[in-house]
Amino acid sequence: MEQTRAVITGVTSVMLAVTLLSGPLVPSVTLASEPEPVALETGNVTVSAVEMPDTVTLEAGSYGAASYYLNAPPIHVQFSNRTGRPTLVYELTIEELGYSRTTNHFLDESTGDAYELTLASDTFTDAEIQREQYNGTVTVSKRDDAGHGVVATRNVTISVIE
Amino acid sequence: MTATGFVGDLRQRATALSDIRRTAYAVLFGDRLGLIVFLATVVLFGLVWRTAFLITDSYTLANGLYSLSNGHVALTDAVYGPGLETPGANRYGGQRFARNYGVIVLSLPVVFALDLLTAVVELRIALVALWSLALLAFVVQCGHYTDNEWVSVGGSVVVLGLFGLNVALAQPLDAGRTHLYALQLTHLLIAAFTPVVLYRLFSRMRTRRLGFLSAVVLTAGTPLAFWASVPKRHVVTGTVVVCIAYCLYRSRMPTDGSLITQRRTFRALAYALVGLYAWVHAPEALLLCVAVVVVDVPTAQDNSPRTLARIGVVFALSLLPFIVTNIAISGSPIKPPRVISRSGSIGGDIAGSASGDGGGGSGSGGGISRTLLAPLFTLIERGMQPLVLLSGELIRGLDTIQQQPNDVYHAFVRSGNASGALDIAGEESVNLSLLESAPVLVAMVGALPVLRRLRLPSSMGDRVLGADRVVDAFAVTAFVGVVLLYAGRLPLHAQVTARYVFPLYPLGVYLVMRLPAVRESLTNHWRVFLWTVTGTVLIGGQLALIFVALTVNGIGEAFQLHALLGLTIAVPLGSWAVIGRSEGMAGQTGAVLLGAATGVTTVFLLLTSIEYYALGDSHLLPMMRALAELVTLY
Repeated sequence: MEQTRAVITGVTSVMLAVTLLSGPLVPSVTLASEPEPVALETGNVTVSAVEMPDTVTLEAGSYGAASYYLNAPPIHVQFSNRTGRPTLVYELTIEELGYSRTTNHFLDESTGDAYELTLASDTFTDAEIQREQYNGTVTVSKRDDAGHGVVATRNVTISVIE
Repeated sequence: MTATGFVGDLRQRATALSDIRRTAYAVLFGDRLGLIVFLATVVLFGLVWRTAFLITDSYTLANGLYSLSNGHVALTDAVYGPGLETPGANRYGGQRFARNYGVIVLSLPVVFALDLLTAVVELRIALVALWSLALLAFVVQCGHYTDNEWVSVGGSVVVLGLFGLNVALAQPLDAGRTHLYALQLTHLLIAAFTPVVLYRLFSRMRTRRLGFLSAVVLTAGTPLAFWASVPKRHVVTGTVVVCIAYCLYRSRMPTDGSLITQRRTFRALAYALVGLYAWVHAPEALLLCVAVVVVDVPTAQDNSPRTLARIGVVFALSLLPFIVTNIAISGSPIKPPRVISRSGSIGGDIAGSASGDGGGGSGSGGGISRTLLAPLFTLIERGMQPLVLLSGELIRGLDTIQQQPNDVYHAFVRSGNASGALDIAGEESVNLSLLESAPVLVAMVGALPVLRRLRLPSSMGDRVLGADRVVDAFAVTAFVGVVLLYAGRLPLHAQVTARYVFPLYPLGVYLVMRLPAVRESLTNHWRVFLWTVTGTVLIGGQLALIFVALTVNGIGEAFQLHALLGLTIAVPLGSWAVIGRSEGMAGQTGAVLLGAATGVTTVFLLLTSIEYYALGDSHLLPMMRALAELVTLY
């Protein structure tokens, strides 16, 4: 009984002490710190090969969900040179829908020679999708020390799948 | 050792303090199991707490709390959100006001406490420590309850480990948003009392085991945890409804409490709860008031003028904060900072036609009496106006149910691809129906065979009902009332889990637990039930995770997947409930189905707070944030 109580009291005091340490009372200790900000769009990247998607689809939601899901396959890129923390951007534009979406990919030291660029999923309502096909443009661009530049671009057909 | 000796010394000396402590303990939690339910619920709510805004309406409350903590009733600065023109903010005399002033005032001391903490310690670490202390208390109470010291010792070590993990992963919490955190904390604590009071109700009605199991079904089998930390009225209504049921029950039983020694005090307390709730949301309070009066007065033993007058006085007193706030804001005692119908137009029409009828009626009464009685008529008319509005809403609800059965079906059974059930702003199918959110409620169909056997009182002499029956009658009345009140607004928007009809979750769980088949199956096979819940969460949860990761493209599909899972469980559970057998295998089957239905909702709740509505991975607990960052499903 006494030992149990001692354990509980001990745990409580440790937690209270740590909490007190965290505050401005003990300025030398920082327990909760913001993640280090990283400098993005730095270094350099040269893309040697890009494999663009052939088909992009708008699929009616499964499980009875009342929407269409944009389904853009990933783009495969290969680098001949990559230093620092450059950014690669996957952009899809569907002008007939007045729609554009980009997903940024932040590369770093852990990225190998090849990389798979993805586009985040998005939804459309039933009302927005009126046709069976739309024309769109897929663009890959890069941002690094050399500035912004388009790596590759391609027109794609976006087919609607019910 | 010296520390414990010191604590022991203090405890011996402060006997008076310990008496207060014991009374408060008994009044709040009833007994140790009640405290365990409370702590477990708080710990769970803490796990899924995200320090962000889920719904834009909450901006209004946060700005209202900010203004009030600086001494202004009117909204002064848009500290939260895009501006002061947020949903729920109302304009009177050139100034904007918030609503739900009851919870705003309750959150005031919390805001001051949090501001004080911010001055001394890092807020994130402090809240992590508070959560860890709640978990530690839970572990220690479990140790006492099972009379096993190893539970306490082992648990304490685990708690210390979790605390360390959270501190290691901690990032600072924005100390400028204490109003949001205070509101969330207040709502969370109020929500934690819903299962506690339900436990206490059932442990008095039947057994503590049944009470505990009903608390499990409510906490794990309904979206209570999802709404617990959302500054909206929903969880408050849920707690108030259960508290009223509890008071009505106690008002029909001999008293044994330490604080309240007369039954009629409990009766008055039921009305006082309604009056206090009006301070948060007047239209729903009015509905609850009607439900309490309709059930309580005809079935009570003593309706002497003296008793009724006493209740009336208590009720009037409980309305005081509401009235004072109204006068301060709109200048009228009964005009709350939000009218009964949100759209206003239909509610306004009804009010208009009602006053027109009243005028016509008094016009036929003749000249002199009209001028004499005119002020009286105006007074009655004004007093009746809220009731007229309410009955208008209820009738409209009845109409909707008859004329738009499709909308009713989408709101209560299957949401799916009905474009009408979609959120206007979002376009995703994230508005689940009542049954999809809490498939366990399907067991209510088990009432059908029970109702057939039910004998209604045959004469007026039988009108005095026993405590059980009074609570049943209240639960059914309130259930029907809430359905009708909101049926008129179908299809509902931005619901997530049918939040407007939130009180139906605790009321539904109560009604389900009252069914003899459910009660006996759970009581006899409680181990099977609890294991099924655990199994569904641990194994089913992983399967759901894989399924979502492989087949789902977005939140709408994910929600609909969970909806279908819930309905899949609801079908056999409903069939079992209709058959209503609880002997032998049937009882075990029932326990398994109830457990699965409860577990399916828990899986949905966990995935929702970790992935679907992670709200920018703003989890209070760093370990939950890290988990959410780790999990990417679509």
